[in-house]
Amino acid sequence: MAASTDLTAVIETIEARVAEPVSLGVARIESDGRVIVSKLLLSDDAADAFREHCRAALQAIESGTPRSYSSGAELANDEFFVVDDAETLAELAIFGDLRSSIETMPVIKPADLDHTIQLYAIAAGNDHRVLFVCRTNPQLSYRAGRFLAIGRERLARVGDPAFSFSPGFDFVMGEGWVVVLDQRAFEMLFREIGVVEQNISQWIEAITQHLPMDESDVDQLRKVALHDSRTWRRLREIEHRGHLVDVTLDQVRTYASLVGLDPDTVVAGDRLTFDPAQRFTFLHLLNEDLYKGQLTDELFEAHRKTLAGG
Amino acid sequence: MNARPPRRGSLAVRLELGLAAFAPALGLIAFRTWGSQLTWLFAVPAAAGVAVLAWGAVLVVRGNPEPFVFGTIEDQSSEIVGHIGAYLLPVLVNTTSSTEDIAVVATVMGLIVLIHVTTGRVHVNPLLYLLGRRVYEATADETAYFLVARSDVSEWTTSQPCVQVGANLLVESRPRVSRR
Repeated sequence: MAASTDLTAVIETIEARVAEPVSLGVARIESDGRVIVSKLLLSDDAADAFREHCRAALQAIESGTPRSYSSGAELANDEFFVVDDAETLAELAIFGDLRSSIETMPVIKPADLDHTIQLYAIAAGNDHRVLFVCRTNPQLSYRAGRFLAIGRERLARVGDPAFSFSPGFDFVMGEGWVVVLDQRAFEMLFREIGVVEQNISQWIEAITQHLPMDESDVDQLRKVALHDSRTWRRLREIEHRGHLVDVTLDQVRTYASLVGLDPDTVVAGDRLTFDPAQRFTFLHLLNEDLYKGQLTDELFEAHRKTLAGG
Repeated sequence: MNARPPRRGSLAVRLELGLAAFAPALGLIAFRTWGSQLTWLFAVPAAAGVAVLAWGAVLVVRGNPEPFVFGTIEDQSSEIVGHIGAYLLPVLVNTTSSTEDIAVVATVMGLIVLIHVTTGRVHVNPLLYLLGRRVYEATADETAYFLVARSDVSEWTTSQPCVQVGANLLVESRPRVSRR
């Protein structure tokens, strides 16, 4: 999943679109992964304030370091992922729709915003828009006593909801690319929109078709993967690589021995065995992420793989 | 494509727009019945309608234009015929009219406004035509809207900046470029 997107072009696109019209959408995600979007009407002043938020995200991209979104990658400070593979973009299609049609969504009144809102998004531009998504509810709960400072010297009761739209966005989506600024929020959204649930069986089958597992182990693996992003990301990568087609259980045992692991913890008889407590060892082995340093004999995990000489 | 009418919007908004649409007729009746005890029945809603229109204009000027790409756009000018009945009413009353006559006119006027509010046909406002605007029903991304436009919509081939007011009303706006 190496990103080939021209980052300079991405930055120029964002900069140009942010100066153009913007629309604000809020959404709740149903249990079946459907995203129900409503639009909040904005005054010109509010739109300008959101543009400043978008520019802050642009600044984070300009000053940050891009990384490819591989299964083991974890974002550090001032880093961001660039995702541009067709498969991930297809899985995020629901946000692509939002990007192109946010202005025609049904209008919601500020007073109707409630705790069920799970994200908000700004679509910027006249066409080929850029979408800025933040996975948070913009509504602040009422403060104790429901009093807020008004004017400079006195307190008064607040009758309307108070809103908080933070300057940070979790990811920015354009034509054929996504820049992920907050990995945790992005992956939670990925799961909430049902991508993991819809694909988990297929990802696990990419293993079990070639290396059989007991049904109870498959169930355990599925259960763990549904709640652990590192697990499903590795399963997803294993499926994408498709490298297990010609792999045998003996090869897995040999590989485990080679990196100093007990092969019986991974292969029992003629089946793979899965222990949730050893899930990373299991997945690292199947994804060829473990290797011993030839100079120190220390065991390492590879978080990103690139073909040598490529 | 499954054609749908524009979203109805909230009753409060339709009521306000209804008052704005009938403000001239209500104003004329108030003028004709000036001095009568029931003049307030027409003067108050007429003033409210003018206030709504003025406030709506402020909302549009201060609103955030968004780009809409329109599919079909149909002229709604024929709907203006529905207002003709309301403009005949001022002819029927004057300062010498009895309280009963004025009450009947108020009831008929109330019914006309109510029908327009109920059917959602409150966006066809004669005042808009006087101000050089026309009202259309248009679809954008298969969603229907009432559209108030000044320019020639037949030449709209690309996205047009419009300010949305309420659930179903778009008002043509000038493109604004953000100042940094």
